[in-house]
Amino acid sequence: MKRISFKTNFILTVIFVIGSGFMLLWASNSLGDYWARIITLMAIYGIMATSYTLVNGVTGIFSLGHAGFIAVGAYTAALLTLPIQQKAMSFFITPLIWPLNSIQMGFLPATIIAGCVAAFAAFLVGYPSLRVTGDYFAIATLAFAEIIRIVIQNSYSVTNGSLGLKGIPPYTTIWWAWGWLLVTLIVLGSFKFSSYGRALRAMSEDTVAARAMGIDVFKHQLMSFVVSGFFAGIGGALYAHWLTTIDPRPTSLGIMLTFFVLIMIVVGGLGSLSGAVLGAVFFAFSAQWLRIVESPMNFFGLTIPGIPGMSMLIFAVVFILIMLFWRRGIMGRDELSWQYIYNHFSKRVGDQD
Amino acid sequence: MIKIKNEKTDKKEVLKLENLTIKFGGLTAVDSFNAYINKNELIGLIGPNGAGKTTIFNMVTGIYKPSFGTVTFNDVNITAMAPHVITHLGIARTFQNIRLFSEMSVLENVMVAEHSWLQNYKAKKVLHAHNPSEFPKPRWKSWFWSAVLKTPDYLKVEKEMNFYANKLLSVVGLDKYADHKASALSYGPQRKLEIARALATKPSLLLLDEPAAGMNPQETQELADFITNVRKKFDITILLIEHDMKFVMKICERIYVLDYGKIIAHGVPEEIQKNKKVIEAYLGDESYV
Repeated sequence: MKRISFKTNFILTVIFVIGSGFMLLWASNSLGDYWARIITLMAIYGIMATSYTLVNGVTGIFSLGHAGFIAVGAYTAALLTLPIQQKAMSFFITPLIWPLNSIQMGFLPATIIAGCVAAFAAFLVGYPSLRVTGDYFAIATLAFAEIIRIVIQNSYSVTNGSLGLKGIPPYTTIWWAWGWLLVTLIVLGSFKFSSYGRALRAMSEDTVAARAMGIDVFKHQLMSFVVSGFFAGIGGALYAHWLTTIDPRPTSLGIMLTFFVLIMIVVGGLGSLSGAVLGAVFFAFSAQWLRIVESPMNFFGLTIPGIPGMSMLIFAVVFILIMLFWRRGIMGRDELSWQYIYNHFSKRVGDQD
Repeated sequence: MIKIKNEKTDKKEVLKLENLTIKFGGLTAVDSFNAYINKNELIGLIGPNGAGKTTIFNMVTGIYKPSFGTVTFNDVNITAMAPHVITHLGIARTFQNIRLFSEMSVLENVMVAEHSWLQNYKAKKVLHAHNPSEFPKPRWKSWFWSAVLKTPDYLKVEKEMNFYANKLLSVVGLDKYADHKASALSYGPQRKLEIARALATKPSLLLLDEPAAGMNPQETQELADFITNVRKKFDITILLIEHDMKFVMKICERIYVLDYGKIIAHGVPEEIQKNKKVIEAYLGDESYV
């Protein structure tokens, strides 16, 4: 097996990134607004999924609280970028509290602050929850995410309660979303392929052995949880400015979103960052594409009326099939690297000999 | 990681266990266990199944908190400290049922243990509190950012880790499997890898929990040579649990015999072999024959 050198790897990656940049440029110019929005959503989902797979896949602790941090990020960024007049208009039940009602800032600082606030929320949730493991941890985080949602729903003076926030400026373009995805991948990739990443992967396999090898399991789990929360917040900020209106229903920023992201990372391969991106792209694309089946159609002279929810049904069947025949997801635990492609390619060639 | 040098006395006590007792509910698994281990000794801990040998290991390494008694390591009281801090102070162990990180490569398995090189702040603080003149006050460094941003000082450490891990693998003879998954190794090499992994934390005391379990006589013979080699090469003290009497009698300098949580004998192998209580514990009371 030949090893691809660092230099080749680096050059190929740079070429790949620039190539994808041109692809996105082409897509944003000639595919039309609808698909441009879907491609943006792919990157937003990608950020959510990669940050989620850091906890659930790489670190091996099963959290169900991701949507909570996404919601925190979404609300923080939205409250920071909303125009002041819009805030005065939206908050007609209870006016917005002081510092927030008089500030409006650019998208980039708002996104970064959203990430930091979400990271802090992750710290607050993770610190008590990480004392339990396994299913108990999943339930604890699920409960915390629900607490975050209920708090958002009821604090009218900050979040406008169940009325939600409207008129958020649509700042999220293809470039913001894919740019942030690139940043996320670089940071999380660098994290995963460092000594810390090795420690996280070791913990995911055997916490007792990891502890005996000198790894402070609690500290590292918390660290991974907070980093994941930061990028979940970034994803939430982008998502809010993509949706332009957010509210605390369970179907928008609640438990449903956690399960969507969970589907992405399981399909992509738990523990693989590139797999998470592939899963997100697959999910965003097929969720839109499957809308075809919800419209009335003519099938060999048979007229089928549009059935709402049909796409979800087909989705479910597809995922069951994937889990049956492709249990480890698209990538398993591997990363889609040049080495990976080279190995597969050379194996294929070797088989023919 | 942190080697404690003290040239004044050659026969320095590395580990001292005093009145170590642990109770699980009403059951006293280990009852007032007293033992000492001098520097560079190779000590055996034997006893019938369920005698409490592994429980003693778990108490020394901090997995269990003893109900009573103290563990002193290099004059530092380490009773009930967190397992990772104890590892950083210089006690490494292997497990009875091999606990490798099976999805990771052989090299990565060793490098995981070297993560402790970056994370020993707490242990250094303990040492500083114990002896401020010998151990300077540690400075906390956030390796996390260095690792994510790949700063030169992190890359230097990473390079050292890689170099040392490869060196360890070639010492135990696994360098040709460095890229294989740990689960792809057969049983004997897995045992060796576990020892290499423990050595990567740069310990001064190595605890081996049944290293020869499940090995055939030839492999056991090899392992005995291997362990004596490792001991010489890395200049470490070893405490091992074993069931294979031939193995224990051959390599151990002193032996503690444990039965029902109590020491029933202690001495050099020849004494233990002739000890009536030991024979009784292993073969049963002759009055029943």
